[in-house]
Amino acid sequence: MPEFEAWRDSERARALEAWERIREQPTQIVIRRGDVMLDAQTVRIELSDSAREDLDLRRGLNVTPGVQRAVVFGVRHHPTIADTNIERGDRFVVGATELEVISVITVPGEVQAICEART
Amino acid sequence: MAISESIRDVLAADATLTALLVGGIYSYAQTRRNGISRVTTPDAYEAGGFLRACAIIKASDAKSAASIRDSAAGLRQTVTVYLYDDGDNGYGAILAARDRAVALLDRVWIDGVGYLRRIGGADDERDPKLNNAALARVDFEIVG
Repeated sequence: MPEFEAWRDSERARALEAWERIREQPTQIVIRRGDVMLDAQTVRIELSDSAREDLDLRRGLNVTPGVQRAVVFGVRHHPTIADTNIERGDRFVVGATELEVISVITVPGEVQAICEART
Repeated sequence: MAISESIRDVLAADATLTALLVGGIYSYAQTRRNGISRVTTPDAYEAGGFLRACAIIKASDAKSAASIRDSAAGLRQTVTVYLYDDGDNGYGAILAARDRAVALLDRVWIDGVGYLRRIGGADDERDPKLNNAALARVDFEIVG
C-alpha cells in the first residue's frame, strides 16, 4: 500500500530536489502571456530527441517550421524560490526556437509544462 | 528581376508602409526554403524573439489572357501580399499596412511588372505554423 501521506508531505523536499535539477541545466525564460511579458524565470528545458518538419500545406503556404516537443521544469512550494509562473498558451523564445505551452502538469514540488517548440 | 522583387521594392520605398511593417517586406524568394524564421529573416522578429509586423510578396497563378502588350498571347498573373504579425499583437498594424499597400499598388503601372489591380484578399486569418500569427492577405492581378 503506498504511503500517500508521506508522499504528499514530502513536497518541500521534492521542491528542493526539483530546484537542484533545474540548477544543473538552467535556462532563463521570459514568458509572453497575451500582451504581457512576465519577469524572467529560471527553468530547465528538455527537448524531445525526435523532430519533424511541418509540411502540411493546408496549414499555411509560406512557412515550414521544424517542430519538437519539449518539457519545461519549474518548482512549486519551494521554501525560498517563487513558484514557476507558467500556464497553457504561454509563449517564450529560446535562441531561434519559439515554445508554446500546450499543457501543464503539477506534481508535488514541481510543475512540468509540455510545450511545442517551433524553429 | 522577379515580379515579387519589383513589387517589394515599390512597397519598401514607401516610408509610411515601412513604418507599419517594422519587421520588413520580403519577396518570397528572400524567405528561402523554410519561409520566415528567426534564422532566415531575423529582422522580422523583435529582440525578445516574437514576430513583428512584416510582409511577404508572392507571385502565383499565371494564365493566358488578352493583355496590354500582347492582345493575343498575353498573361495575367496573381500576386499576393501576405501580411503577418504576432498572434497576440492583433490585426491593427497589418490592416493599416494592407490599406497602404492597396493605395500604392491598386490601378498602378509598375515598370517591368505591368498594370496591377486589386482583386481580393482575406482578413482575420491565422498561420498555425507561426503559432497562430495574425495574417491578412491582399491579392492583385497583373496585366502585362
